[in-house]
Amino acid sequence: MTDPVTDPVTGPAPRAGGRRAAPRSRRRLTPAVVLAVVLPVASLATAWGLAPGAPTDAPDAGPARVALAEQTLVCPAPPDEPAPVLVGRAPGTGTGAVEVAAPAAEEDADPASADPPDGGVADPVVVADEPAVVQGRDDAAPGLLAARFTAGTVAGTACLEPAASAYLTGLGAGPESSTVLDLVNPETGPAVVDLTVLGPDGPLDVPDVAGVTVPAGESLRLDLARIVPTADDLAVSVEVVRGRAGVTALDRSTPVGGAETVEWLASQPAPGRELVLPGLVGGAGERRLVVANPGDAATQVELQVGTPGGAVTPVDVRPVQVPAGGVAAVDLSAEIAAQVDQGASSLLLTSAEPVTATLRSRVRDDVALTTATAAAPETAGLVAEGDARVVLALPAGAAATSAVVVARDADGEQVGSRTVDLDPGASVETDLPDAAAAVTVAADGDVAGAVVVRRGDGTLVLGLRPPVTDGLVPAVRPGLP
Amino acid sequence: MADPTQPSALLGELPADGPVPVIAAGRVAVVLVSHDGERWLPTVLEGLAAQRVAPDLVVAVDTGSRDAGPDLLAAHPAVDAVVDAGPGTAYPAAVRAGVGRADELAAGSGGASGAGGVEWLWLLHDDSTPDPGALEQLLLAAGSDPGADLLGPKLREWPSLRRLLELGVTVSGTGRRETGLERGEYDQGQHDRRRDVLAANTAGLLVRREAWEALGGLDEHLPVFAGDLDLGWRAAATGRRTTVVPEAVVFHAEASHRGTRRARVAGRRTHFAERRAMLWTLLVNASGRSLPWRVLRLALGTLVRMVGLLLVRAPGEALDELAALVAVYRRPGEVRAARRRRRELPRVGEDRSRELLAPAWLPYRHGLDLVGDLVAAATRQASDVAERRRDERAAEVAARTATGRRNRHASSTASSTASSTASSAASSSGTSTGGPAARVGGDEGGVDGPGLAGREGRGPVLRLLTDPVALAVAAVVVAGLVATRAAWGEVAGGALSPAPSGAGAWWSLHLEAWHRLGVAGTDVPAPPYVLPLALLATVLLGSASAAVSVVLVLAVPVALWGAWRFLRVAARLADPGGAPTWLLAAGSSAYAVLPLTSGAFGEGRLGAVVLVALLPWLAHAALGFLDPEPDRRRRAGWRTGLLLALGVAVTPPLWAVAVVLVVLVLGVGFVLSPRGMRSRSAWGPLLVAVATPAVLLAPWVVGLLRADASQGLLLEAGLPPVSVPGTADLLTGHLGGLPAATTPWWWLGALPAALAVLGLLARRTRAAVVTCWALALVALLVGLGLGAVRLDLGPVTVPATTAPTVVLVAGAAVTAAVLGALALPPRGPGASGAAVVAAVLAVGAVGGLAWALTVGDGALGDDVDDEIPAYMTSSSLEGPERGVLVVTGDLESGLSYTVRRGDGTTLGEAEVEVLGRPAADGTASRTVAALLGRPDPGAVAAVGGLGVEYVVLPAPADGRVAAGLDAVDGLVQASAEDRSTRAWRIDAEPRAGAVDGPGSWVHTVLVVVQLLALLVVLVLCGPSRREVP
Repeated sequence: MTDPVTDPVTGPAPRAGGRRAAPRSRRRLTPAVVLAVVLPVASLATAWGLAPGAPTDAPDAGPARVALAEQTLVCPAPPDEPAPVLVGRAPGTGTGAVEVAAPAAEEDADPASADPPDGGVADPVVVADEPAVVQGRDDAAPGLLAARFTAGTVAGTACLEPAASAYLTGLGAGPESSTVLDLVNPETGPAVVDLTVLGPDGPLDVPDVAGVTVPAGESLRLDLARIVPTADDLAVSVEVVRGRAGVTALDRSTPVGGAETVEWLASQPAPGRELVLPGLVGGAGERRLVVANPGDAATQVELQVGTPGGAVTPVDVRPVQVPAGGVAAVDLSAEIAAQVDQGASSLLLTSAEPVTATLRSRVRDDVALTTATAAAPETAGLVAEGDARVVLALPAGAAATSAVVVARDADGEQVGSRTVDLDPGASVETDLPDAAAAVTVAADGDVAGAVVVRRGDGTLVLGLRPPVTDGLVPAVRPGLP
Repeated sequence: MADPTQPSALLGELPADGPVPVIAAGRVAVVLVSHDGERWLPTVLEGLAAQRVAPDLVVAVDTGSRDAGPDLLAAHPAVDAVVDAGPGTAYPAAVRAGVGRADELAAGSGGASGAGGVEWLWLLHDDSTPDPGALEQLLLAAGSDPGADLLGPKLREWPSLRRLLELGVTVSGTGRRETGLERGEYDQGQHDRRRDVLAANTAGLLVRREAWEALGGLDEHLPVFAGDLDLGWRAAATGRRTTVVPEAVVFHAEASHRGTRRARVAGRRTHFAERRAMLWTLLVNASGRSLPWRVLRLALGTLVRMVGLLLVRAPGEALDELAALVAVYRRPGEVRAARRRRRELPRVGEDRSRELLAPAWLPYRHGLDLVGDLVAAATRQASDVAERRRDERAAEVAARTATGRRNRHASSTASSTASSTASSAASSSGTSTGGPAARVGGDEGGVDGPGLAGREGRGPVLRLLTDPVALAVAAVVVAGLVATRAAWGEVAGGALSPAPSGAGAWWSLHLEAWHRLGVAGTDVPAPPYVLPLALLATVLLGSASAAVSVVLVLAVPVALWGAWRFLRVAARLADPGGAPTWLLAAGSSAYAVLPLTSGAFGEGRLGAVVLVALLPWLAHAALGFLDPEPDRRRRAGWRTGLLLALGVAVTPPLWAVAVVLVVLVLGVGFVLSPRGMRSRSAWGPLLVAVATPAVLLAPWVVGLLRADASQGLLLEAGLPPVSVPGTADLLTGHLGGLPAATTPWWWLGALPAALAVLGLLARRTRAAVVTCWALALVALLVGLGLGAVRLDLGPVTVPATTAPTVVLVAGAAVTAAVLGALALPPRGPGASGAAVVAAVLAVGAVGGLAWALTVGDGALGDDVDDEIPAYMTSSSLEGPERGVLVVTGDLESGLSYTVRRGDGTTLGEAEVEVLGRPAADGTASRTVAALLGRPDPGAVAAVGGLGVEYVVLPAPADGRVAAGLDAVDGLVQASAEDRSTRAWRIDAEPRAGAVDGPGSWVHTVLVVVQLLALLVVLVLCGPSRREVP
């Protein structure tokens, strides 16, 4: 029994080592002592090496680009004067005729059609007193551009695709400035839209604008002055919770003792931390920057202006404090005019929280609204009749890039082209030929752009937007229960 | 009298007491039936000859003996005649023949057969020898009590002569022969009361001849057993009385009952013959009213008894039970005839059998006793390994000592040189009973609960209240129960899915080969822990949520109890003195908080929680491999295998650790002792232990491989992904869910590890501590290998679970700490060292509990909010084809979808859904992708064909995706409580059977094999029958 190895079941029994070791322990290292050192060290070493990687989620899969099957653009209703719809097409995209009709057009009414040439613009289509829906299918869908310009006063806006969410900033609901919203449902099913009205101190409790139902193929007009009469600057965030609906805003301002002017207010698709508002209007006048913060945290917005040489911080402009869910307005009348005189053509905003912004300029008795425009590598827009120029701006945080501005006439023939080099924070103006009916910008990086048209005393600022050429199909995969 | 087996030598003269003794009149004939009774006959005949009142006639009947019995009978002067009844004659027939012969003899000697005939029959067996006063006392009783027709003596065991066998018998409703005596009760006159009984054994039974004839003698249908009961019952039914006369003593060897004699009439199967006889007796004598009930009850009772016999590994007797039932039930005509004969018996008084039968509760009492004995035997199985090993060694020492001086010298040298080690301490003391182990470990069974040793004299409450250790342990248990309060009632969260509606859901999940879950149904098998959960829920009256709660809430107490048992035995193996209770309490408490402190509970990791609770029991069972007795080693193998299977079911990689350990142990064993390992009982149990999980979990393993979902073999129970431990977590017993480095509590987990390192310094128990470290190293190495494996589960890629490594390392650390402390003296000078170890362990336990009570709330809650509108969930309960397609994500980062069916993803279904998810480029995925990407009516119809009724985009829904779905025909917008949740109903009635799939005979076969194997393993790991008293 003294030989531990005869035990059939213990294997490396605890006693085995100890027993054999005991008589020799004073003279040399016994197995137990060796193990007592080796095992903990080996255990620690193993534990050190045992670092299984944390669970990793499968990488994000971006959407696949497919041929666009259908594109719908919603144009706002005209103001009190005629405003024909212009339909153009980005060069090298689609071909074919598209329908232009009022959303509530009778089923059997023959819709007007427009067949813009590649890169050009079709003849104006008149849709009287109604919003217009431009719809192209299959080959005619990609690259559609549409806009509505008034013939008399200088007002206009690009027609946009109905989006799930949109932000309108710098709205009025008072006697001096009031805004009318048009909700247009181009689809065959009803749409439900949630509106949130933001005031200076936070979201306003407006019961009638949550869950607004727009019947199929109809449009709905909301007069803010009637819903929330106030003299404050407002912002509205639009959430389409059912179906699809486009939202447009028409601003009427009547200064004390002045004449009424109208202008459309373009929407922003999403708030951002770094905003570019390309297209400043020079000359004496009133300028008011309205910043909305739809988030839950208050923020501070730094202002800069973009000049051909880069971003410049005006010495006497202080940061704007915007409360959570609130709207802040700041008067920049003197500063902007001075900066434009020194070559500035864009306004750059930097904020800790995502915000939206609009610059309202009232110069020479005309209102121009400059909204934040998303930067993209390829943008395009239609040009209204008049003295037009393109403003290209680069956010201060972006890398230097160069962009090619190409102007085309209504037939799609190139009538001008210029390459513009942009440093971070720079803003460069490029004059367009008189024949230009459409303009495209292709850049190495993301560039924000706008077309500024001056006709007589009126000025119009029209943001350039990326033409929709592809359909996006989400990557779909099984998930965890 | 030199012969010690001579009964009268021990009894002495009976005192003459009572009223004037009157010996009943009439001639007495002894009928002695013999079959192969050579062993007993000389004594029997001597006893017969020594009767103070000699019988008038002695007729011996031999039933074809093949030994010297007939010669002995013929040669003995006391025997008047020997009847050779021939082989195969049953006892009733033999008695009948003997009575006939006696009548002839009486007629021959006494003239007219009527008046001078035999009036008393005294029946004797060849293995029953009467005390000299037996007949005298019986006749005296008959004389003083003329109403008694059958008089039975007091039967005592032969050859012990002291233990009582019977003082009259009765029968219970289940057909059990009831004597009313304890087993092996010594005769101290405690039952010496003359009383009426239902029946008395035919060995020594004195029967009035008139009654014998009226009752028709013994029933021919009862050749060996139960004839006496039947006779007595008939007598009682006809108003006659059977009286037991304690003054008359007969010694009985019960040769037929014990199987020491194989009578041909009894058949080869004693148990069969006995049961058949009892069933017959019950059926033919029972009252007509109770007969249908009895028929049913005996049939059911037989089945229950069969199960019980199978559980104690007595399949032969179980078959006997069944055969006996069939033998009686298949001839109802015979039973009816026998009942008719009994009805026609002449009556002399009222039926008195009812009051003489055993009370109705008696069988249940016996059942309870048996269960208690079984449980006690089962829990005792491995607890005394240390003692048995010492006994074995002591016996070896004794054997060597006896062989010669040289060996003795060697042995004593060994003892003196290594007197500090456990086994030599035992061998030098030469006994295991006098050592401190017996004092320390007073609660052998462990069922009394820890800390109650040495206070047997007081009531349990007082014992608890006066023992600080018991109080501390009770406090830990209570605190553990409070800390797991999140699991009281319904619980879900983290990796824990909600419990299903009931045990039935788990049963069908386990039994079905095709699960109507997920997008298109799947043949991925249910995870293996579903079967134990289903069993538990069934026991808990079908409540699945109660089963989950029980598992989670009882994890701490069960871990504590198991750790106590394991540490006590491990300590006694390492040191014969064992560990003091306070050290055991500290060590087991430090381990028992692991379900909470590791984060397993808070994360809802049921598998890890169960593993912690199970591991000490598993280790305790594995200590049985050290048992010196091969049979116990074999059973330890089955037991370990069963517990290992449970552990593998919740954390499958545990099997890898077990296999590596077994290979290592076998390898070391073969290197060190090739001779010792040659015996199959040395290596067999180890192989059994690792093979058992493979068999018991076969439906799952094979199913996973067939379904091409082998990743499931390395996932722990629950919904992936779970957190992954880092180096610091591994050494401090954390599963990784806790920010180990940042929480101020993390060092609590490092205490056992630090003590385990210090434990290596103690020379006396170093070997045991080194063993713990070796175990930890193996666990870590296996974890190292597993941690490198990445499992692609589609949406997430996870490493193989390392939970077994964490738990094993933590357990090894606590064990090493306790064993290291053993080397320090538990009392006397220097005792403070062990106390410090215990205190540090206790700090770890108390600190862990405090953390769990204050900080460690974890992810568990009442339910999981899956953001599905309630009306959809209630609709989906109507059928598996009414699924809800749940889509998350957005256009930029991609969309993920699941299909929620029935009551959602419940416990056990999560793994099936994850492993059975459709291939990313499979038909189902393409169908769903078509709907979400380019919706058109065809895509809607195709998704509806998958068995989907609703499509839901939980908040925040991507409006671009939602707009596409809004626009398509065939989808009807549906409402949701949260406005930013988007939902649609597919405007077509779901197709019934949309998610049905093929069954699988392979799965069916595997499940049947699994359940049978489970039964067999349960039976095999139970205690042997001889260990059940």
